[in-house]
Amino acid sequence: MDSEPNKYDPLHENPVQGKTSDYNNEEDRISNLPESIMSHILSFLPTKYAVATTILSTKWKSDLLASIPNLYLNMDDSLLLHPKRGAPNNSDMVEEHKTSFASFVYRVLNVILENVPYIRLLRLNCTNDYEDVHIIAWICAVLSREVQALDLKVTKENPSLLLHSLCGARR
Amino acid sequence: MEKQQTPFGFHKLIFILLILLSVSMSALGRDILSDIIELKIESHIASGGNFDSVTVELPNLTGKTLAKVIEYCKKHEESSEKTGELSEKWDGEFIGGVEVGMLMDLFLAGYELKIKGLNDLAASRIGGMMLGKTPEEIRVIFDIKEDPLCKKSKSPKEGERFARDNPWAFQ
Repeated sequence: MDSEPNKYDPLHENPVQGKTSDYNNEEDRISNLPESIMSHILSFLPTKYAVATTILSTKWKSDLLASIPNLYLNMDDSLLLHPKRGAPNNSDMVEEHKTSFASFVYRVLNVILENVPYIRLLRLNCTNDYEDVHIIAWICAVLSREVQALDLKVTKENPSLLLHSLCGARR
Repeated sequence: MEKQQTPFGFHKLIFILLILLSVSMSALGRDILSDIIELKIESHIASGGNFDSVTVELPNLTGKTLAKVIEYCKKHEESSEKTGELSEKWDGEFIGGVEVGMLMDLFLAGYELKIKGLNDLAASRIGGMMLGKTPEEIRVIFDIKEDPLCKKSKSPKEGERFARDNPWAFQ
């Protein structure tokens, strides 16, 4: 199941080295790469960060994600872009975080990847308790195309209903 | 007379090339070299070129980059001969120790020379350097220019709108 393309894990990684004379020539090399090469870089990023590259500059188009062959989606609601601010710690913040994550998953599956017929793997990790209708809608959105593997981790107080519904979720 | 010379000239040229290349770059491995030469010649013939003037252009690499590529190929050749296993730790240290400019060079060299392992390793390192970074931080690391000239496709306002539509990507 764990057959991501990279053997080397960038998460356990030396800190980024300082910029050096090699790279201060005012040249934005990375944004001027052909799109297929840029999307190759995105294929190594969790979906959250891959989508966030869209606002780097105009060269980072929002359809880069959809152009990755053998797309591996990794959506994890515990990933934070600003870890120093800490995870949401009161119930209002948790609710806001949940709503935000849910709409992100919908947007990725239904808008950004609207015309993508094949997904290699969807890995969904929900550390918060999302309503069954959301989880089922996400899974159905994935199953409406060709998908090779699903890896779901969901937190549920009462999982029986979801399990029952999932058993009926077929293409 | 000319017809007889043509194939001879072609073979002689390839022979000389092979000798030159295998002397100067033997560490790259014959397989990679012959693949490159084959590809270049195929595309030359496909584009209607004649045999008398086949020139095989190697990707534009600096000596420094080529030395790193050779170091990578040597190590992988050695370790696959010895144990059949490639050292992930070595890969991590190899790619983690290079600067951003060299990283981009290696990424493109891996792509152009069709050394998939090196191409993937560099792509995953570039991805790793973007991981968990804000767009501003990523722009600094890779010298990415916000291009205000392209107002049509993505004005700052459009960037803001994208961030508003996808809040979770930036939280």
